[in-house]
Amino acid sequence: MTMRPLMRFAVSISALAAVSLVAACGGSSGGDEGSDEQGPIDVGFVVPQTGAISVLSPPAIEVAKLAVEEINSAGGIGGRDLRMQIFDDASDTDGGLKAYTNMVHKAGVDAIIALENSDSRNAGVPIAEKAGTPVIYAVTYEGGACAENLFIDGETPEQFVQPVIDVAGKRGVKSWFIIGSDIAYGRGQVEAAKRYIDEAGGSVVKEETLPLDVTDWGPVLSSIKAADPDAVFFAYLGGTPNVGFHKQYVDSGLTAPIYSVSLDEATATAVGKAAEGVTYAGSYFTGLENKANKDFLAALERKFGADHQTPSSISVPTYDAFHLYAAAVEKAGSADAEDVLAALPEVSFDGPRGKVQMSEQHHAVLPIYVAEVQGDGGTEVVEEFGAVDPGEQCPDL
Amino acid sequence: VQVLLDTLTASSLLFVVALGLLMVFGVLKIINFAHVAFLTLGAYASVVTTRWGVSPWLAFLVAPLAGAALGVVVERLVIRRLYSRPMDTVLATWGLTIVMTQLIILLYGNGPQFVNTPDLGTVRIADFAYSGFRIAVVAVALMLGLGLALLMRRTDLGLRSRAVIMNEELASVLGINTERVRMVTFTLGCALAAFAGAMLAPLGSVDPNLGLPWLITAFMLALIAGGSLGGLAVAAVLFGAVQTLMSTYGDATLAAPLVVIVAVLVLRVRPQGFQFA
Repeated sequence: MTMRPLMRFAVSISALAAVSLVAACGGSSGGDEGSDEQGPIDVGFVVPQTGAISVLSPPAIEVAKLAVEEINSAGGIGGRDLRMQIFDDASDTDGGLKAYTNMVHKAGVDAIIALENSDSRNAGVPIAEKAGTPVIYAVTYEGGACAENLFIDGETPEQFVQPVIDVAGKRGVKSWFIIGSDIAYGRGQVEAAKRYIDEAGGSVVKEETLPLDVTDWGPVLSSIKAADPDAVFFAYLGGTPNVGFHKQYVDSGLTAPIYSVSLDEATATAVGKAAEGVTYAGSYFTGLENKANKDFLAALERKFGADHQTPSSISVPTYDAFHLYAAAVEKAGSADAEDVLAALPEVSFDGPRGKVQMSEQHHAVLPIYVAEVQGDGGTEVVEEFGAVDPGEQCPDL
Repeated sequence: VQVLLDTLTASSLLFVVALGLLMVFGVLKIINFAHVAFLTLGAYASVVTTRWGVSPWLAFLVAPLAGAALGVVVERLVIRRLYSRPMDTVLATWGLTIVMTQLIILLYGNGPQFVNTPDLGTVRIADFAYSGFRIAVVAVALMLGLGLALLMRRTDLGLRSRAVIMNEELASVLGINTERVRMVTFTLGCALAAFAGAMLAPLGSVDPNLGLPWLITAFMLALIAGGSLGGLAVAAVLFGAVQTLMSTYGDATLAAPLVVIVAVLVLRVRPQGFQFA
């Protein structure tokens, strides 16, 4: 793993901060650290409960609770219960740092499962890396995040962007207008999209990179009108910002179809009619016709009632991540970080998404679908891609 | 035509959002940071109407009423005691924002709310389609602007507040109840802020930090306007034009910083802003 000097500096500073924090805590917390062979296995689940993408956390927390209940009612992992503690990263970098510091050095968790934006992940993972704590990052992202302790079961651009561009190409889309957010996720997905558009022989008429707090989309919409593209590629951020964008897009009278890597089924339902016709990819949709998915939806309804949160390709990787971790501990025969990290590249889980297979490069082979939002905000799968390889994300691992 | 319309609608939105802040700044000479919280409060009016299941249009009535009611209370409890300490009001109103935001979180939760808002659809103008909502914003901005101008020029209250703006001590000596003028102005400012918030709700979803991104823009507008209505109109059009022209012919990413640069340049050339009305 190569680091730029500045990054190395930042890492050492955060390590220093972490060390002093441990020192400040004194001996009292020392007893919790490491893995005692008795008692529950502690998993820290970090989600944005506040801030820009907080809308993503309620569905994820539901499926996480369900996974933990399933694991424990089946006798736990090797006879030990799994205990989940939830941490908030406030949707930003600073929150990510605090959450990881708390999880690793205060709570002394055995492993971390994370659903967060890329900036929070980039900020937090080095803290866990120093301590050797396994992290499973459970949401789609821009690819190329590699660390000895980091595993990812969300979609990579190969699994999330390429299929969307592919479907658009088949529909005759040639010229694109690209909207990206000015964060690691947006910039990464835009780079990937441009690569695939280029490979498919399409062209980009204009590209806009916007700060995260856009509320009036008017200027961008004018810009799209002036550029008059065949389609719009939207790589902004999951959750709330979609509402404003799609509402204002429809109101402005624009008709170019939108291909999105920011939308998920739960958000599409909330946006409703304004999102009609938006095409997006994912490894999970509620309409999947497999038995595991039907059981999963029934279990959600039993545990949380008929008005449970809509699971989506944003939240289901979290569910899988808990089961993948349990499988790895089972396989390793202990919750020791080193043993678990050695076992993780080989585990798989047959869940609601279908078969999820971890790879040597710490990413997951996933079944991929492309879907379209209907007039009532519901989503229907329009094309199945089968099991798609995550691509060469970390050839050095 | 399209660009012209874009400029007009962008300017109108800015004008409406900054109006309440300007009123308070003009008469009370304080920057009301709680403006943010009142914007958010107004937007939550649409959450309330959605929950009650009544017409989303009612939000535009509920918002200013709630804003005014809370404005009176805040003025009595906080602002009135700090008139002689303008710097402290900055702190106090910012603190108030935090308190109000937390109260909203306590009442309605931290997450975003998806609300029913009046759907004006698309309007066809000449040979292209345009957002009906945006056209409505222009009309509202014009009405509010003209209404306030009339209020200031033609009514007794307007006369008194202008007297307070020009020379407060003198006004007070002449028997004008300056405290009352200030209270009415602050209340009006809060009502306007809440109304603007209700107008922001249809742009997207509503969350406890909805007002925040608008604060800096509104603040700069009020500074450049120099405390006058006409000045605000000029400033809003200037900002709107910069934003729209830059996004249409250049890069929307650069439009945001450019607006700030323009603000700095204007204040360098005209430290008093566009104050002439």
